[in-house]
Amino acid sequence: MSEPLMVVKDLKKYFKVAGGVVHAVDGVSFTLNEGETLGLVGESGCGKSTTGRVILRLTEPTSGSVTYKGQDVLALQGREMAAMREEMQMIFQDPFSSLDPRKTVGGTIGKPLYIHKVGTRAERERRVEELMDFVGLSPQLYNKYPHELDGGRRQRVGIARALALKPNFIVCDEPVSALDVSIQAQILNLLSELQERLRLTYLFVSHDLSVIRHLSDRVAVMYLGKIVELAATRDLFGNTLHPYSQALLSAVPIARLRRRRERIILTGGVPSPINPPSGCRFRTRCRHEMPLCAEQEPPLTDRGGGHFVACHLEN
Amino acid sequence: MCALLKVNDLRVKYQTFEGVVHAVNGVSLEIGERETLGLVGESGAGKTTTALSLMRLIPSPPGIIESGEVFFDGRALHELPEDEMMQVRGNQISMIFQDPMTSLNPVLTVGLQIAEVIVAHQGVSSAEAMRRAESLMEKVQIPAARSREYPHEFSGGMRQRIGIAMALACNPRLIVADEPTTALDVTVQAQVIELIRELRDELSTAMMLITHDLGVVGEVCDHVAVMYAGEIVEKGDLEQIFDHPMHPYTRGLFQCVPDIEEENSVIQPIDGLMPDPFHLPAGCRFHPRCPECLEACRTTVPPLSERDGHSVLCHLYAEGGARG
Repeated sequence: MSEPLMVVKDLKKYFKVAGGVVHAVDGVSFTLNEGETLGLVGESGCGKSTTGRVILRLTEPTSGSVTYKGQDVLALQGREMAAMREEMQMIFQDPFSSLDPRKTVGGTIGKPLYIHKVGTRAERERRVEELMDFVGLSPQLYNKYPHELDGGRRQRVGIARALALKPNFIVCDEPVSALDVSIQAQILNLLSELQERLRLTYLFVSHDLSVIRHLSDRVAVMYLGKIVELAATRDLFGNTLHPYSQALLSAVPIARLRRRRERIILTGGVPSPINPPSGCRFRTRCRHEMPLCAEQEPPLTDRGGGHFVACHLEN
Repeated sequence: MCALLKVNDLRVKYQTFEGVVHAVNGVSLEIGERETLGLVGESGAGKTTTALSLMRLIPSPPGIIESGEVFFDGRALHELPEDEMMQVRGNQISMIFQDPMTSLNPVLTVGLQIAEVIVAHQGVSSAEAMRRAESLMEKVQIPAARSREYPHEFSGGMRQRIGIAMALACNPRLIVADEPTTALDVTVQAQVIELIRELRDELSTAMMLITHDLGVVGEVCDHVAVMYAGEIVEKGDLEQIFDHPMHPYTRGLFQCVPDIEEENSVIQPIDGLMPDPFHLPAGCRFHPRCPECLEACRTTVPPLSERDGHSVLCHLYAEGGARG
């Protein structure tokens, strides 16, 4: 296998708050291969969005390393980091707050080109028109403002802006969560098309397991700042090993009749990330809890064929 | 079967500065005793407006109920004076709201908020109301000892349980639940759905469940009505809608959700955008997005066709239509 595009090692991000330290991301490691989609799934507060943001250094990590094409992303400074940002972009969840309300569609999409001093003004305008065509925005919208657009079109603007500098790698942070289902499907298909055409690599962050399964080549499940299971999509859904992943999957309501699976209802809520449980973080809600789980943190180990699980069961 | 709730030709509009929004355009539906009807549609379809209008809770201005009859257990709610309507709300019909963060009063303890409903409707002493409030909290699996805590001290799922406890406070015969699990994480959603199902069955309450999630409908409902642009475009029991959807919009909705059980699921988006509520299309409201649009669809409002309780608003199924 060729060299991975990105290697993330033991990434940590802690936030100091009034009541202590929030362990938002607590030792996350994974690799990304060129052209693939890694789905990062979990519930609110599990650290999936923070992971995406830290990789792009929208917020600085507490510790850990991110290597992109052999370069240490976290060590880059000033101009070097600016150059790196041309390679790595982000699509945000909320198409309502991620666009500047005072900028036109054309201005928003062209801004990265302007900041990175790409081409002449006329060339930039041509590139913006090309990008709008790429993402299915009609050229008449060039001078419109975000409030004149619906959610789906706004998200297309966000996608065009992310593509402006011809990046290789894009973090998609819940890009369809704020959209209605009929529009959601349009955007999902657009993202797949773009990936194929431009050979993009996605880190796709979502809480929606159906969307994750549809789009991802591999999937990482996060719980309280840690990856509990990571595997090829087929293995993760076909042979789910971690008790949390099993519960998460079983909780998804299916829009088909007579296909109801056995549901694992978790008791209680997610423990506080300020003071996470000792050992395995999921043990307080796990139906297989053993004494060992409180004492020792289960490491993320390969159970064969790149199917990683962090659980003491069957070890 | 005599329907518990019957709505006839409900029409509601909003008068705004930019113009008139026709939010609900002739909705008729029935809910029988112990039935759960799922009202499905995307944002702006008129689901919430329908629910608020039949409770007569629509803010006016800007909302105007133009016409429509609502019968609850044979009583004409649309004709009741406001003080009698107040006795129906909370007592006979109650609501569960979407957002458990904003639907509770932040400066009252949760126990007091539940007790308030009981005092208002059942005329019992506040001590007795508090006692009942605590037993309701146990019923929704929250320790009664926490009745003196404030909403911010609870998680989202627990707040929604408190909302459910309030809705159940007076043993209503019908609960209108507006996106009750949309704001919750999936594992918490599963807990709340389970609770709603258990309590509904235990208390034999009828329900109207408003949601955009067909998965949730499949879990909870026995009847389904699909709304688009202020109209019910298709209605039937769960099997009819899920196994044999007829309206192109309903079929489109099923095709645009990726199937979690399939490896390479193909999704087929519905083209175009939700219609501009100020200028709804002529003829069939769905025709600009419909893959099977006919000439008649552009100009003529489709008739309602019905067979075995499965009704659809579409020219394709009209008498003489392609699938009539």
